[in-house]
Amino acid sequence: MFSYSLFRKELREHRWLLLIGTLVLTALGIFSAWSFDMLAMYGDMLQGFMPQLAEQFEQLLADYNFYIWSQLHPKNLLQFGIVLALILASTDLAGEVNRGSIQYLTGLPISRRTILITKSAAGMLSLSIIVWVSTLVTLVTAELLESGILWGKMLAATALLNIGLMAVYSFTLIFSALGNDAVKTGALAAAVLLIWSAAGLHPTTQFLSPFWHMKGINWFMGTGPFPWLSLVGLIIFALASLYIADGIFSKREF
Amino acid sequence: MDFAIETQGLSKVFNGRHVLKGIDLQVPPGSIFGFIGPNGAGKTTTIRLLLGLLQPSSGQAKVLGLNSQSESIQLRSKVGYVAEENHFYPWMKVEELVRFNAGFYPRWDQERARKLLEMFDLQPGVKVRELSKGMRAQLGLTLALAHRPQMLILDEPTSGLDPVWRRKFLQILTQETADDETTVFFSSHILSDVERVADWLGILINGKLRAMRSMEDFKYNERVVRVVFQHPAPESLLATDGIKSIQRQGSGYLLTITENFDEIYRTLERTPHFVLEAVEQDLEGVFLDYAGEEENDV
Repeated sequence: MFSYSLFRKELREHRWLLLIGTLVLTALGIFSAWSFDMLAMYGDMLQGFMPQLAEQFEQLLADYNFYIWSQLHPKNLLQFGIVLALILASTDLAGEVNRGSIQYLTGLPISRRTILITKSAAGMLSLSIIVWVSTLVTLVTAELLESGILWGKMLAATALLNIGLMAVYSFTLIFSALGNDAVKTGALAAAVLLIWSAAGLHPTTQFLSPFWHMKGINWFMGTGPFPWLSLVGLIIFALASLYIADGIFSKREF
Repeated sequence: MDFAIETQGLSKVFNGRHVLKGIDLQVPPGSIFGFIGPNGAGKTTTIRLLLGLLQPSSGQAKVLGLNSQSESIQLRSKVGYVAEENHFYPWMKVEELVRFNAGFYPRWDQERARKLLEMFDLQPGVKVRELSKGMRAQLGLTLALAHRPQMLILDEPTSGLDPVWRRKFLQILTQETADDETTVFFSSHILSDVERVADWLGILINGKLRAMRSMEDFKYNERVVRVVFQHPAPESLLATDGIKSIQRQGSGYLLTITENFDEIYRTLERTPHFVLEAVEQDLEGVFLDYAGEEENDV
């Protein structure tokens, strides 16, 4: 059910995405931590001529942990992470069809399920490395610049987001198992996710959006309990997506 | 007899088009079986069905006694497969691809892989994208042979190669499979290659297996006889089983015989005639006969 040879090859193929993704997100994270004092200064300056914006700054900067989380998770990790998940998943299967190597790969003595599981494991590991390395570097920087980071809460929020990104990756795999072109597959999955994300714009429908569940905003702001239901829901969504992708990929003829 | 490959009524329909029309193949173990047919005849589809990479619309296939559908993974671990287009990972070096492949075969023989790379003069440090088509075909054969398969299945392995590469490829193929009696099943439309190495032959035309027999049998029985009778040709003689086609040329006849050659020839000898001569056909002649017959059927 798992091929180490294929796993190593997948990680090797992901290496540039892994490196660039980690570097970009780490740089953005460090900048976010470093920008806290700078924004506080600008907030004071804005008081005189843009009081509304100054008030928003004040709210944002009132809690250092909330500021770091808001910059790191809903902005950097969520947005970049989704793009990375889309790229990884769409190239995993449709990319192999695209370049013709799927015939070579499926001609080897391994099952389609083994291919899917191994590729998913490598894709999810790559995503997790990017998420965790950039988060940990950001948190260590934030702690050094301004102590008082709530490590437990930050790490739990990261785990929730990481699982959400895995769900996005798994969902995109369904399209990848159907497609012949990695770019078109990624674009189609992105379009579907974008439409889906509209549900998160209104309070009455936001529970329908996977992105809302990934953020766990109510819990982080202290207005609700830890979103266990969201966590379980995202895991079920990821597993169901993998199951569907497996069904499609196993039956497909190349 | 347990055949190395045995299919029963193997058919494949793609989008309503009957690509393969119920073929019954029997490949003897240890043979080099040439599977010939024009482009689009269904050769690649047959091979992919044999390897369990496609699902048959009807019928079944057994390779090395294993069901090509339910035991396809076990089957592929015992078979070396070289596809027509070798789409390996272009970013890998030759040695990386060999290592990658080794991870899938328990019987991988690294020493044999190294020896084959040397024989083909393939540099381990060269990237796959830098290899010519001929070199990629040779790399494909190296990967297929290095796990000591019981059978080799090659899909148009020499297609697109120049005569020098083709000769070298076929030479190493026969040399490397002769020692351990590996069965070789290879498709081709290059008849001279098949004639050079195959000892069994199957002719696939328009999705139908038109003939299957040993090369020796083909060469002996598949002959054209030119005969000029002294009297009008006896109808019963021309209707004898084994005469595949009759062409009239003035007062003479060209009879294409596919079976019972000796018997038919003796009968012709006994019938009063002016001219009687048998012309041995080469593979191209045999193939064109079948292809022409198929066109007439259509």
